[in-house]
Amino acid sequence: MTIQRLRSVEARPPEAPAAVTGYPVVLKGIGKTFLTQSGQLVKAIDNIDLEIEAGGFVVIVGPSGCGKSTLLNCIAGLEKTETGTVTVNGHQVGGRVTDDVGYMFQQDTLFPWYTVEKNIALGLRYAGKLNHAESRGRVDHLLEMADLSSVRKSYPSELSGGMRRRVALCAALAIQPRVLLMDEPFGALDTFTKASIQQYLLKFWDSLRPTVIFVTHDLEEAVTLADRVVVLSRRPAYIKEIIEVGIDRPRDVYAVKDTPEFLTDYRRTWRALGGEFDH
Amino acid sequence: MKKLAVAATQILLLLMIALYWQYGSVETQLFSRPSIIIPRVVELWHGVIGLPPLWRQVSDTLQATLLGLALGIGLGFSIGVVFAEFPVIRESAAPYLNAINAVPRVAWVPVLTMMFGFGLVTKIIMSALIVFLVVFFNVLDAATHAPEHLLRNVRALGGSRWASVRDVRIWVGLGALMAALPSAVALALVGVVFAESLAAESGLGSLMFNAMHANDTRDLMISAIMLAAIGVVLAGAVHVLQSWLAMRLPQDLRGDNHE
Repeated sequence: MTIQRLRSVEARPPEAPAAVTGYPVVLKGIGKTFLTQSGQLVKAIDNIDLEIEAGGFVVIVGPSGCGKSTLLNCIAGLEKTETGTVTVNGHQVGGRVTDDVGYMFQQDTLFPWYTVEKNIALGLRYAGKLNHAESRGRVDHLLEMADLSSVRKSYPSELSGGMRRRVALCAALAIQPRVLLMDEPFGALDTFTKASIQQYLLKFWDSLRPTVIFVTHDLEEAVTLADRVVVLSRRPAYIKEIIEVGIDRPRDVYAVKDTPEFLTDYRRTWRALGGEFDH
Repeated sequence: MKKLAVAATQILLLLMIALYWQYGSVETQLFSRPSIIIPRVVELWHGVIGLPPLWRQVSDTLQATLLGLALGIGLGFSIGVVFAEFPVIRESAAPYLNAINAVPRVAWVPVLTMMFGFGLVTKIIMSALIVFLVVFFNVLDAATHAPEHLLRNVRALGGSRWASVRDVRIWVGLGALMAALPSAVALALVGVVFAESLAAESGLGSLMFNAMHANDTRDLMISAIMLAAIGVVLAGAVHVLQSWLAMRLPQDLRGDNHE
C-alpha cells in the first residue's frame, strides 16, 4: 500500500477503498448508576440502545458529566454495565478487556520512561506478539503514516503536544483493534494542531477501517469526522437524536468546513444539543 | 572558575579548623590535638595490641554499610512496588510493618546479636533493616499513587498486573528511590555504627565505643573523623549515581508532564 502524504488525502483515488476490518458494536438497554461521595445514588446512563455498523465512524456528543466516558469504558470492558449488554461482533463484553478494542484516552497516556517506538509496541508486547516480523512491520508502518519515523527513538517529553497525541493514536492502533474508542482525544490541543491530527485520524481510518466510537464536546470536530453524530441528553443520559452526516468521504478536514453539508449538519447538531444546556 | 573558588574555600576552611584545633584555645582533654592524633593514626593503622588495624576497621565498616545498603534497597524497592500493585497484601501487612517501623532502631541490635552473633552479619542486617524501612515506605507510597491514567492505559492495552508493575510502578518507584537515596545512605552508616558500638569486635563503631570506655579522646576523634570521611565519600557516590540515573531517564519520573 502506498503511503499518502497528509494533505494529499483529497487526491486519493476513490475507487480503491480499503477493506473494512471493524466489528459491529451493539449497545442494548445500557444503564449505569453512580454512588457519589456524599452517598447519593445518581443515575448516569438511562437505557441506551445503539447499533454501530462494522467500520462505521460514530461520534458521541453531550453535555459534560453525562456519562460519555462511562459508556466507552463499558464498551472497552474497563467497567461493567449495570443493566443491558454490549456486544462486539456478536460477543458480549462482560467487563473484560479484549484484543479487539483499542482505547485512546483524553489524558496524555504515553509512558514517559519509554521511547516512542516502545510506547507504540506496548500493546503488541502484552499480546505476546512483539517479536513477530509482522508486528515489527506494523509499528514501522504506523510510524511512517503518522510522520513519526524520525522521532522513533525519542522520549515523549521531547515531543510537541500534537506529536504525543499521534504517538498515542499509533499505540492504540498497533494492536489492530477492530473497534477504536476515543475519549475526547484532542480536547487539549489548539485549533491548528487539532485539525492536523484529525486529518491523520481520518487517514488511518480510511486505510485500516476499524469501527470508531469517538466522544467529544466539540461539535465542529463531531461533524467533521462522523458518519453519525449521536447526541446524548444531560444526566441521566439517553439518546436524544442521531444526525446522519452527509459529507462525502474521503474528507479533507480543512476543506469540509466550507461545504454546505457541514454547515447544515453542524446547525442540526447544535439545535439537538441546545435544549440540554438550560438548567 | 566557580568550582576552583569553591575548592579553594573548602581547603582554606579545613586548614583554619585544623590550625585552630592545634593552636587555639581547645580543651585538649576533651578534643585532643592534630599533633597528638596524627602519630596515633599511624600507630593504629598498623594495629596495636587488642585492636585490629585501622584500615581493617574502616574497610569492615564500609563493607557492612555497602552490603546493608544493597540489601535494604533491593528488598525495600522490590517489595514496595509489588505491594503497591496488590492492595490486599499491602493492607494485610500494614499493621505489622508499622509495628516494626515503630520500634526504635537501636532496640533491634540486642535481638539481632542474639540471632546472628557478634560480627558482620548483625551489622549488615541492622543496616539493611533501617535502609529497608526508609526505602520501602517511600517507594510504596509513590508506587501506590502512580498516575491512574497510565495504569488504565496498561489495562486497556491488555496488560496484566505484572505489566502494571513493570511498566508503571517500577518507574514511579524509581523516582521515589532516587529521592530517598541520600537519607538511605546516611542511615546505612548509622545502622552499622549502632551495631558495631554494641556488638562487634571490629569497625569504627567499636573503636569509638572502646575509646569511650578507655577515656581515650584520640581514638574517639579518629573514629569520628573516619566516619565523617566515609559519609562524605558515600554522599559523593550517591550524587554521581543520581545524575547518572537522571540522564538515563530523560523525563520527570512522576509521569505528569502535561503541556
